[in-house]
Amino acid sequence: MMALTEANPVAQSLGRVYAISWPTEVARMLITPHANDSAMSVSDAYALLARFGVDLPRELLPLAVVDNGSIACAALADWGPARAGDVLRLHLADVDPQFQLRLLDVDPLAYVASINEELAARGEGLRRMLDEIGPAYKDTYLRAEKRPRDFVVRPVRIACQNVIVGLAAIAQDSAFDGLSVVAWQTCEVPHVAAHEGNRALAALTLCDAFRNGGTMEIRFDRDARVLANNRQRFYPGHPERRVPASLRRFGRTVGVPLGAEDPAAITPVEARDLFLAITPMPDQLSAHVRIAITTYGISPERICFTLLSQVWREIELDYLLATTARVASILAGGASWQQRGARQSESVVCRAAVMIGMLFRRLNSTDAAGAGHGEARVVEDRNNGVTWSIDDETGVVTFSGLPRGGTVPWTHGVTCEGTLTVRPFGPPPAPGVVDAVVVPADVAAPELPAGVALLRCPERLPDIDKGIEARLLSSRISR
Amino acid sequence: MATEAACLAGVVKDDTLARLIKDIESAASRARKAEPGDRTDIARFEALMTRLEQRAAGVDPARRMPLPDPAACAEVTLVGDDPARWPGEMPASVRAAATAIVARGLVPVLVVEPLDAGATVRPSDAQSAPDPAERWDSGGVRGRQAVEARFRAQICEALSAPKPRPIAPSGINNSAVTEMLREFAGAEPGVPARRVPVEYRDGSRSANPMPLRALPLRGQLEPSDLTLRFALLSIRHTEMDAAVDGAWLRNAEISRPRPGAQTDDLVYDITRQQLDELARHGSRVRLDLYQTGLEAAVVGFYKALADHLLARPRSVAVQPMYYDGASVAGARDRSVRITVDSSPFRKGTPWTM
Repeated sequence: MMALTEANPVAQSLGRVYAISWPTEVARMLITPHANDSAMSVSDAYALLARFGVDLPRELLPLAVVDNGSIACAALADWGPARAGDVLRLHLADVDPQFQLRLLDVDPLAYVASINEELAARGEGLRRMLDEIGPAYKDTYLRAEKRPRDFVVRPVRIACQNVIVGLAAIAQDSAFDGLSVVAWQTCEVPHVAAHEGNRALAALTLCDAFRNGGTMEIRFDRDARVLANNRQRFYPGHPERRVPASLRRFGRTVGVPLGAEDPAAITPVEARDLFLAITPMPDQLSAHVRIAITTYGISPERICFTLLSQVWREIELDYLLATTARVASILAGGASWQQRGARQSESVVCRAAVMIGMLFRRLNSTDAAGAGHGEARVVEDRNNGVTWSIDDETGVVTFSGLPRGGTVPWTHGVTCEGTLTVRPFGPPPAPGVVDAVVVPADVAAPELPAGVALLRCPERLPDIDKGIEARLLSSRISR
Repeated sequence: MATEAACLAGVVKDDTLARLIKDIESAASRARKAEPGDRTDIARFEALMTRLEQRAAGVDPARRMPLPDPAACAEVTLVGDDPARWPGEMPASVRAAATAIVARGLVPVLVVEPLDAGATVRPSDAQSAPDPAERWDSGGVRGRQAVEARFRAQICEALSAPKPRPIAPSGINNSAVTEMLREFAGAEPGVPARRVPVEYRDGSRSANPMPLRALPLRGQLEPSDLTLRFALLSIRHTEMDAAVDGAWLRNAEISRPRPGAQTDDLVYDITRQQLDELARHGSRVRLDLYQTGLEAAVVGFYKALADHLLARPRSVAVQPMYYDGASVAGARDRSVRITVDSSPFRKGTPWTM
C-alpha cells in the first residue's frame, strides 16, 4: 500500500469513510484497516486476493465488497487511466480484461455514501415493484392483453441471464410534461460489467421519455397512484425523493452530474448529456455524430434513440454519417418517392450500410452452431472483438481484429490475415485498395481486378430494400 | 465523405424494357393517387425503378453522359423516352442530355452514384441541433387539466412569441383540443390574427397552420337551411350509426401508421373539399359533429373549417358533440348532455359566424 499524507484528498476521503459510523448494512460491506463490524480487514482482503491469485497493484486499496464475485478498490494515486480517488471494480474471477477494474465512482466517500443511500431505499423500492406495481400491471394490462397509455405507471425489469439487474417504474406526467419515476434500483452482479444495470435502465428510461414527446425532464419527486389488489396505492415520488444515488453514481462515472440543477430531477440539458454518454459509440462514430449535430441539425436525442432502438445499428449509422450528406433526410424517413434522384442516392447508401452491417455481424459472430460434438451453442455475448473504420472519402470499410487465416464469409474459401477492407457495390476505387467488394445476392458481379474477392451478401436487393423501408417507416412515425 | 456523381445512361429499348417502363408509369400513376401513408404502390414503383437503374448501371461507358451537377438531379424523376411525359421542371442540362440520348434511339435513365471517391460538399446552410427543451410546470394542476394547461401555454406562447412557435396537440383529449382551438380561433379586438404551425409527437409538422385570433365567432347557432349529423370517423362508434347521417371521414383512410402531420393534412384536404361541396349552393349548413379521439383528425378538421370560414363566412356552422359515456365529469354542466341512441353526448361550443 502507498503512504498517504493527511493533505491528500484521497486520504481525507478514506479517513472519513473509516471514521463515519455507517448503518450495519453498509458497514458489513466495507473493508477497513481493523475490520470493526466490517466485512473484513484490509489485510484479510489481501489474503483473499492472494487466494484468487490476484496481485493488487500498490496504487489500489480494497475498499468494499461489491458482490460475491468482486470488490471495490480505491485508487490511491493516478494509475494507468484511473485517477487518484477513483473507485474501481476488481473481479475475482477471470474476466475479459476490458471488463476488469471498471470505474464504479470517482471518490471513495461518495461511493460509500451513495451505497448507503441506495440500500436505505432498496427495501421500499423492492416492495413497490414486486408486491404492488408489477402485479397490478400484470392484472390490468398483461392478462387483459391491453397496451397501457403513456401516463400509466409501467414497470420495467432488466435481467441478464435470468438475474435481475434493474427495476424501475415510470410514467409520463403531464404536470411537467416529462417522465415521472417512482421506483428505480439496480445492482451489480458478478457476471455483468460495472454499471451495466444502470446504463441499460437509463437508456430505457431516456428512450421512453423521448418517445413520449415531452421535454425530456425526468423527475423523482412526483406523486403517483396505482390500483393494486383492489387498493389504491399512493407513492410520494421515488423512495429517495431525488435522483437515485445509484444513478448519480453512474452519472459521475460518465462525466454527467445528475440532479445538479434540481436534486429531484434530471433536467432536459442533463438528459441530453446522459443520452449521449450512455449510447455506445466507437470514437469514429462519436466524431461523426458530433458533426451531424453541429452541421445537419439532427438532435442528439434522435441519434441516440435511433441507435438504442436499433433502427440503424452502430456501424450502419456510422456508414451513413461518413458517406452521405443526405443523412438528415434518411433519419427523418427518406426523400419523397417523387424525387427519384435523391431517393436513388439514399437507397444506394442505405443498401451499402445494411450490407456492411450484416457483414460486420457475421464477421464478429462466434456462434458455435454446427461446432463439434459436445459443445453447447451459446449465442449471448459472444463476439470476435472485430472493429471497423470507414474511409469517409471512398466509402471503404476496414474490419480489424479478425481471426488470422479465418475464412471470409460469403466467399468460397477466401481467407484473411486479421483485417479485411471492403467496398459495397461497384468496382474498387483503385487496384490494391480493397480486399473485396460486396454486392447483393441478385446483382450482377462487377469486373474485379485480380486479388479482389467478391462477397455475395445472402440477401437479394428487394429483401434489403424491404428492410430499409421498415427502418424508414420507423423513423417517419417516431419522434 | 464520399461524393455523388450522376449520369444519364442510354439503355437499348426492347420489349422487356418497354414493358418495364409501362409498369413504372402505371405504378407512379397509382402511387400519386394513393392515400398518404399508403406505400403499396410507392414500394412497387421503387422496386421497378431499381430494376431499371440496375439495368442502366451495366451499360457501356460510351452510352453514358455524365451530369456536371449531381445535386441538381435530386428532384428528377425520369421515366421513358417520350419528352412530352418528362417532368416540366427538369433542369435544362438534364433535359438536353436526355434529348441527345433519345436522338440516338436509346432510353435515358438517371443513374446516381453516391459513393464516388471525393469529399462531399457539406450543406452551405449548416445548422446546429435545436437546444434541449425548456422545463415546464403546470403550476400544481394534474392529469387532464395539466395537459390542457400545457396546450394552452403553447398556444399563448405561439401567439406572443416574435416568430410563431408550433403547438403540439398530441395526447390531448379531443374535446379539450376542440374547445381550446375554438377559444383561440375567435378574433379579439387589438390582437392580430396569426397562423401557427402544428407539430405532432413524432416530430412531423403539418403543411397547414392553424389560424388563431382570426374569426369573428359567435356563441349561439342561428337557424340553418340544412342540418346534418356526422360522426367524425366511421367504424369508431358503430352504435351511433343509426343516429347519424353519415361519417365525415372513412376510418380505413385515416387510421393508418404514418406521421401525424400527414393524417392532419389528409383530413384538412378532405374537409376543405367536402365543406366547399356543402357550401356550393349558397345554403347555410349546420353540422353536428360527433367526435372521436384521433387528435390529428380533429385538428385537421377544425383547421380546414377555420380556413373555410375565412374564405366563405357564415356558409357552415359546426356543433361539436363529445362522447361523455365513461366520464363521471362531476364538474361538467350536465344540462347540455344529450343522448343519441342510448349513447350520451354533450355539446361543445359551436363554431359559427
